[in-house]
Amino acid sequence: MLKIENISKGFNQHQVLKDISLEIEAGSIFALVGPNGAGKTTLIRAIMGIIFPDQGRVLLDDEDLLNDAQLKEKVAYIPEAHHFYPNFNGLQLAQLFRMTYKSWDEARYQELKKEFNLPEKKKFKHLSKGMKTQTAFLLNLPLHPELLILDEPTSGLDPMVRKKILNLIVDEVASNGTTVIISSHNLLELERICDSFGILSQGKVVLSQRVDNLKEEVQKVQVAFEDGLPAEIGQHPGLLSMEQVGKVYTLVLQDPELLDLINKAKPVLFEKLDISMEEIFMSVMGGYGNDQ
Amino acid sequence: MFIINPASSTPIYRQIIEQVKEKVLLGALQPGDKLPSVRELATRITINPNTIQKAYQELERQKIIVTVRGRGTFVAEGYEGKKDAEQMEALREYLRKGIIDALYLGLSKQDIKKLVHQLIEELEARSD
Amino acid sequence: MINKTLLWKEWNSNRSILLFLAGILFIYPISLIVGMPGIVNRLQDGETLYAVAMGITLGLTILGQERKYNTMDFLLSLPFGRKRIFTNKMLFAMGGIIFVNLVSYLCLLAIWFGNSDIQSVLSINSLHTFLYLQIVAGLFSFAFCLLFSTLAGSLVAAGIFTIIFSIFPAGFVALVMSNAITFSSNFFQINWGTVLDWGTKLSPVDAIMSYNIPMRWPWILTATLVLVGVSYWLFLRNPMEKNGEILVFPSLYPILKIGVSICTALLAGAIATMGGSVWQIVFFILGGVGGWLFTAYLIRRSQNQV
Repeated sequence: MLKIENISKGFNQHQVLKDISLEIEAGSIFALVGPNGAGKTTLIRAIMGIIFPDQGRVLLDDEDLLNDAQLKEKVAYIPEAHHFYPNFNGLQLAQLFRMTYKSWDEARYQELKKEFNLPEKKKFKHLSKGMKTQTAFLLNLPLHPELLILDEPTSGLDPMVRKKILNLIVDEVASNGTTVIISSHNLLELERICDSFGILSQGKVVLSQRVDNLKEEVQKVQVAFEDGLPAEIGQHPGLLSMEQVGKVYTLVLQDPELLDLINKAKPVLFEKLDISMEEIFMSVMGGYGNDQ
Repeated sequence: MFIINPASSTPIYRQIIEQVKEKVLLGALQPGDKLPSVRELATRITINPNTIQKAYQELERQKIIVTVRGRGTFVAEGYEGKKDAEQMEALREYLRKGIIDALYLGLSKQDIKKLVHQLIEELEARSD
Repeated sequence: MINKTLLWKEWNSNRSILLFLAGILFIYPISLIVGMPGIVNRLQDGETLYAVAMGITLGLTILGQERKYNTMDFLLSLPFGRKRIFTNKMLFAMGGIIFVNLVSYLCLLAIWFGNSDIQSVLSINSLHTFLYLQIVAGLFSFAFCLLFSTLAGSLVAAGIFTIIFSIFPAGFVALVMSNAITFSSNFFQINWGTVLDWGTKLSPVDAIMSYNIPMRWPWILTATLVLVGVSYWLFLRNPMEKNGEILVFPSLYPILKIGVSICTALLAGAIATMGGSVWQIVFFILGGVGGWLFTAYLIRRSQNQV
C-alpha cells in the first residue's frame, strides 16, 4: 500500500505539484490521469526519489520510500522516455538487473525472453520504441515488484504488443498481488483494468475514486421535459455537463439527488446511457485543455 | 468468452455476474463445468483480476458457482433461484425500462405480453 | 560502501578506460621498446599530459555522460543511494587512473630490468617519479573537472567552465593588468610582476605541470581531496530536474552573471586601451553589460530546452 502525503514541488517559480495526497491500496491497479503538464511525470519522479519534493513524504508499507534507497528493491519503474544505458545490450541490462535485485526470478525472465523474442545482442539505443518498451517489461517483470510504476506504458505500441503488455500487467497482479500505478492518456485501455484512479490537473488532485463507485456516482442520462429543462436541474452544482438537441437534453450528473429531481419533474423521456471514463473525466475537468 | 463493455453504466463485475448467469441459464455452462481461474480470465479478456474476484465472490455468495480448494471454480449443482429483494427491485426497473421502450415503439399491451411469452419460450427451448 | 554491481556498471559504461590503457601502453612502454626518438628524455623529465587528458575525460564524463543520456534517472531509480553511487564512481575513476598508470609503470620497469642499454640512459628513479607525477596530475585534473561536472547541467557547460577556471587566476590578473596600465602603472603602487606570479601559481593548469608537482604535491593532493569532497556534497543535493541547464544550482546564476560581466568588461577594456582612457571606460561598461545580457540569454535558453 502506497501513501503519498502532501507532496509539493516547484520549478522556476512555478508550482508543479501542489500538496498532493493519494492512497493506493495494495494489489490494486491505479490510473493516474490528467492533461499534459498536469504534473503526472513529476509526481512519479518524486515518488521514485529522482527529484526531491519541496515537502511531503511517500510511504510504502509505512516505510519512508524517499529516504531509504534500499526500499526501492520492491519498486519497478518504467518511464515513458526509456532511460537504460544506450550502449548496453539486452544481455548486459539483464545482468545489471540480476545483480541489483535480490528478487530477480531467473525462470520468469527466461520464460518472458522466449515470449518477447527480442534481439538481445543489439545495443539498446538501436532498438525501436516498441522493442525498448518490451525490453523494459522483460527486465522489470521478473523482479515481481510490490509496486510497479508505469508512465505511458503503451504509447507508440502496435495493438498486438499493447494487448500483450496489458495482459502481462494483469497477470502480474493476479499472480503476485502487485500494486500498479499507470499514468496514461489512453483511458480506453485503462477502463478495463484499473480499480481506481486519480485525476491530476494543474498540480492538484481533482478527483480520486474507485471506478465502481464512480460508475454509481456519475451517470449519463438522456431526458426530455414538456416544459423544457427545469432551472433547478440546469443550475445544480452536481450537473457536470449538458448537451441539448431540440427538446432532448443529454446530462452528465455527479449527484444522486439530481436523479430524484429529474424523476420528480416527470420527464417525457428518461434513458440511462453508457458513459466511458474518458467522458467522465472530460466532464469532471470541464473540458480543460493542456495545463501550462 | 465474456464481452465486457467498460463504458457501460453497469460496473464490470456486475457484467461478468450477469453473463455467467445467462450462460448457466442458456446451458452454455453446465453444472460441474470448470470456470477459468481469476488469473486465466483476467489475462484472457484483459480485465482487472480484483474485478473478476469480486464477481466470483458474489456468484459464490449466490450459490451459482462453487470454489473447491486446489481444484478450481465450478458451476454449482442444482442452483435454485431465490428471490432477493434487491435483485427484484433491479429486475423490476429493468423490465420497466424495456416496457417504456416498447410503448414508445407503439406496441400495445397485448403485443408486449405476446413478446414476453415468445422470449420465455425461446430461452426454455435453448436450455433443453 | 563498495558495490560490485555499481562498479560493474561503471566498467561497462565507461569502456574509454580500455582505450586509455591501450594508449598509455603504446605511448610509453612500447615507444621505449621500439626506441622512439625522445622517449628517454620524456621519461627522464617526466610529463603529465597523458594522465591529465585521462583525468579530464573521466572527470567530465563520469557524471556528464549520465546527464547527457538521462541515465541518471535510471540509476537513481535503482535501490542505490546517492552516497553509494558517487563513492563507487570515484572508486572506479580514481582507481582507474591509478591502475592504468601502474600498469604502464610495471611494463616500463619490466623493460628496464630486461634491457641494459636502457638502464644506462635512464635511471630507475625517474621511472618511479614518472609514475607519481602522472598519478598526482591525473587525480587532480579528474577532481577539478568533477567539480564543474557537479555544478554544470550539461557536458558542454562543464567543459567550458573547466577551461575557463583552469587558467582563471592568471588570466584574471592579466586582464586587470592590461586595464590598469592605461591608468599609470605605478598609480596603485602594486608590483604587478609578483601578482601575476601568484596568479599563475594558483592556476590549476600550472599545478599539473610536471616541474611543479615535486614541490607542490601535498597541496595538490589536498586540493584533490577537497574538490572530490565538495563534489560529493553537491552531488547529494543535485536537483535532477535541472539537468540540461547551464548550472544545476540556480542560486549561482547571479554569481555567474556578475563573474562573466566583470571578465567581459575587463576584456573589452583591455582591447580598447589604445583608444585612451575614455574609450577604455566606455568599452569596459559596454563589455560588462554585453556580458551580463549574453549570459542571461544563455541561461534562459538552457532552461527552456529542459
